[in-house]
Amino acid sequence: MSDRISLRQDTGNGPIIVLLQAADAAPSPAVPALARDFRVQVYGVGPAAAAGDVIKAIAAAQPVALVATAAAARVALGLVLDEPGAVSALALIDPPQLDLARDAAIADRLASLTTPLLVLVGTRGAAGLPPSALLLRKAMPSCHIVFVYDAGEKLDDERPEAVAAALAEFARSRERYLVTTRSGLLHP
Amino acid sequence: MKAALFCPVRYSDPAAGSGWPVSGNAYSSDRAEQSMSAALAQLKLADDVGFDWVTLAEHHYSPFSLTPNPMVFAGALTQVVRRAKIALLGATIPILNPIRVAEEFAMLDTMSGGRIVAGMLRGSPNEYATYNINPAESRERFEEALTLIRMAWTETEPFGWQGRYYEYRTVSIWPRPVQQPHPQIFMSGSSPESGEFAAVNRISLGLAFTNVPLAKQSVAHYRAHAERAGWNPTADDIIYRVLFHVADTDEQAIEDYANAAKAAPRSSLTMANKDLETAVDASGYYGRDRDMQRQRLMPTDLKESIALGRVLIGSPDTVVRQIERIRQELGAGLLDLTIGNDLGEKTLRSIELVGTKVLPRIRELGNA
Repeated sequence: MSDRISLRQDTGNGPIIVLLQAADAAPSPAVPALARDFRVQVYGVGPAAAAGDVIKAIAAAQPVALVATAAAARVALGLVLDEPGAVSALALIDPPQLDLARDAAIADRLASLTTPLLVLVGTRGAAGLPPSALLLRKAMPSCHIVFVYDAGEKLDDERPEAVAAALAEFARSRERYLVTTRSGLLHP
Repeated sequence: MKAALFCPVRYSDPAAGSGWPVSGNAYSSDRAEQSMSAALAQLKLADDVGFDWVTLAEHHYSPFSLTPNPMVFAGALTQVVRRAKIALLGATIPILNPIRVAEEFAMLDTMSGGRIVAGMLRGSPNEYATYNINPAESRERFEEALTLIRMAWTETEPFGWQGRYYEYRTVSIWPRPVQQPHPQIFMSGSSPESGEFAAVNRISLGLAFTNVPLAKQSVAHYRAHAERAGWNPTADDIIYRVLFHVADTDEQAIEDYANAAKAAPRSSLTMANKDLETAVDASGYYGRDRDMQRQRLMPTDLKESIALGRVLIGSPDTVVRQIERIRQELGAGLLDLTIGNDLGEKTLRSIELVGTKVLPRIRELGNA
């Protein structure tokens, strides 16, 4: 296990989704569903990882959709703020509360974030939005906060299909996320 | 103890048709308008004579009830019923758009100055054919829809919802409920599964189309699970729906009721279509105590109905005694007094007698 960044899984075909997760975590159960329509590259992010490490590792020709679970959210936010052109859309799964002292560099710059941002949180546990999501909403009113019903903190473990569906739709539609393109036609 | 008047807003011609769904061939718009006007008059009278609540419900495709969307009727009620709470018992949320339900309740709460009681039900089994929803999904849809509605009422930031049955990219309702954090929610607690969900989620309990012995079991189950969840429901958390007719004497009340029953034999909406009921049963709709759930829908004769506490009938003195028994056995703090058949002036007299001669005598029940 690298204390910076390591590729854990590369699966599927299609536009690239880069998923950052803790280095010691098993690959997200949402990956198989995402890999039906995307090439999913899963990176383990170690405690010493920095945004630059991710950029070097990805080395993609086109901007990628970036997804980060839990603690990897800090690295993902840092990357998007440093290299906004490298990321077409950013999704955070149950992000931790930013420590405004420790994460001051991120917190101060959130208002300048222009990359489309999706935040997924569970409905179990505290009533209403968690402080981490509220902070992001306050800094960036256009960010999309979505409750994943009947999930706790481990959203992608508990409801992998639901999480994958939200991520896939967001990766495809980005700025147009509010308007579905899914057909309701039953019988042509 | 408190009382509500439940008016199903029946179509006034008993010969309009039977079964479910009911053909519209014999439908008269004049009759429907008269039926709705009569219902408004009954509910207004209830407000005038001191009922605590007036109640509406949702039923479809039948002269049994002309309020497929009770929210619409409740909108009119907010301008006619000026004091009593207006209870919708309820919206059949598994077959509806939950966000629309949250918005409509919030509108009504605003229009009524915070007098709405929000019933949310799975509804009678036949309703699943109304909007083509699989009854096997009923309970899961109900639980998710209720959670979503409560979130729509309480969360002030726009949010999306990635559910099992519902998906929204953004939700941010206007208007919002007057009552904070939201109107009191009631749900049916006749099945053990429902009682458990209500207890865990601190939701008040409604008992309808049942009888006192069965309701007593349901209340005990609900209270036991509420205690495990760390709270104790009060009497105001339990409402029991019961048919009623009060006249000046016992003999008159029974004669009125019997004549009405002859003119319009009662049948539950579900049992009115046996094939439908069999199909709903096969879907697993009734849950783990299926036999009891089906049994409580079966009709009983008047004598048995009185004995089981399904009907309150008689003079004010007699009905007070019948209510005392229900209060004692169930611990319910609210009675949802149901107009079985609209008997015109006799129904208005019945409402008036409850307001003037029954309600003052049951107010202190349970407070001793």
